[in-house]
Amino acid sequence: MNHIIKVSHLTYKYSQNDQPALNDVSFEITDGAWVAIVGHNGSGKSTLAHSLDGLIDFKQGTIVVDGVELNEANVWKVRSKIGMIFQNPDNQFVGATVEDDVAFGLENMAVPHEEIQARVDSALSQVQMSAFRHKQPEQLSGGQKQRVALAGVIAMQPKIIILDEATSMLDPIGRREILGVIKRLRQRLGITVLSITHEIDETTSADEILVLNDGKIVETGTPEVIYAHSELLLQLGLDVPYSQRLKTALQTRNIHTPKTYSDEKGMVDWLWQSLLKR
Amino acid sequence: MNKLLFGRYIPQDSFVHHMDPRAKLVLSFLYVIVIFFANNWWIYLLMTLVAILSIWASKINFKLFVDGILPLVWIIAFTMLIQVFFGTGGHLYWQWGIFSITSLGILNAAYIFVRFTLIILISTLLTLSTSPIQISDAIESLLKPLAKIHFPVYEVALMLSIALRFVPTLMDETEAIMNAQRARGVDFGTGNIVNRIKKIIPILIPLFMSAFNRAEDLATAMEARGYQGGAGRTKYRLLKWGTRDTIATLIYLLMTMIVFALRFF
Repeated sequence: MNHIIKVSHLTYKYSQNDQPALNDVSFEITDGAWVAIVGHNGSGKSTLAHSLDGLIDFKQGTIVVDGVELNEANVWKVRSKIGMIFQNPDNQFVGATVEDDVAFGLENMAVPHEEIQARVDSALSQVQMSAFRHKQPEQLSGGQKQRVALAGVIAMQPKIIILDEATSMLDPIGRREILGVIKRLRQRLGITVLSITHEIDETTSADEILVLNDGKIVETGTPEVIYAHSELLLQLGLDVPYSQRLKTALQTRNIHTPKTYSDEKGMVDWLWQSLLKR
Repeated sequence: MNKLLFGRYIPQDSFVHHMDPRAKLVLSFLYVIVIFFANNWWIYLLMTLVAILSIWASKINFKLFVDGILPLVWIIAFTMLIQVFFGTGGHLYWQWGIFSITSLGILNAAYIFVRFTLIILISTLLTLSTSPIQISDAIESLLKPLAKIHFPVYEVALMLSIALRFVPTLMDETEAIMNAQRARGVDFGTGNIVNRIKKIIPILIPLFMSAFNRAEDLATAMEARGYQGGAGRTKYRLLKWGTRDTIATLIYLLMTMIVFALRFF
């Protein structure tokens, strides 16, 4: 298996804090995987995301992205492999209009004018924002702005997309749209997705979840494994998905439930089936 | 303020709208400079005709231009009154202390009225037919020669376009902060001038805080998207000089020549 991101012994401390924000963090991410990093506020998950893109100058540890070690000389090379979407839809909108914003990254990469046009067109159609290309940011909703940010990332054709709490300021519909586009993108292009979040619902489609607490990885595993430790999640101030809470409640009443994690629809189907079997 | 300065662009499919913004910017400047050489009615007549022709070619409703003049009516009236009462020369109609009404004073007031109106019309035409981003592109392109003496042209243009882009965002934010304070009982509408200014301070501080946070986020986002300064960037928007621009330039140059001929010969 190919590891697209390798982090070893990463430690980072903000000068104003006594405790390190990241404390000897090591993990690997497989090429093409969807990995969710969860943790409550202040667990160090955003610091981790920023370090991966070289936005924070860490002193201890190494990060290797797609075979390139992140250091001062390689930082732009690493950034060209990673597309990042940040939390606040307004504060990452650089262009005066939708199309200008999508083109911004391409202009930075010195892509020729004709190619920029083609890539902007295709990226906007992939997020279904083509009709809005001449709109200004104040004419868009938060979800639409995040879709534009996603188009800006798609246009740059990165190998990795990092969602740094990209859906936390959106309503449920906007969140579903963004995650839907990313799922389709992954199926088509096999992009690696790293989603940093405290919304546990955003992790259900992940292949692997890393649980971060006080700058340390406390748990790693598939969603089924992680959700099964619901006490740990609650203890860390995180939520447990609704279907998992239902399952736990059934188990305490000595009802046998499926071992693997199932989403809400899966639970409904199982409930119907078990009722029919009776 | 937003409506007055930035949100005025009226999209249209017209000769003027399809012109290169550089041409529009330069010709508007030329017009304003030339009008200061006007000293007789023939010149004003010619320049009025050119202004009307330009407005007609933009297909923008004339009412919008009147809206552009209305806020400035008092300034125009004040300047005219000063000319009427303090102007000297020509036939003297009436005098009282330092005030006097003379034929030349009245003539100058009339000139000033026409001059003001024409300048406002032409600059309104520029802002109504050109979006802010086009204006900032035009400024960038026109300043390009300064890059030779290490003037950061790209950076200034980017700063300008980001500043314009964040005006509505910060306006919304101000409104939100004011509403939050109204909800806690602050009354912005009453009190004397000192009290009203005091009430502005609690709006400015959170606004500054948030503007700095936004700036920091934006800088991070720009860096993550590979922004390394202006050098070596390509442009998504290209400005193209077309036949329209040549035609408009020729008309304005012809006007300039006739004006100088009427003025000096």
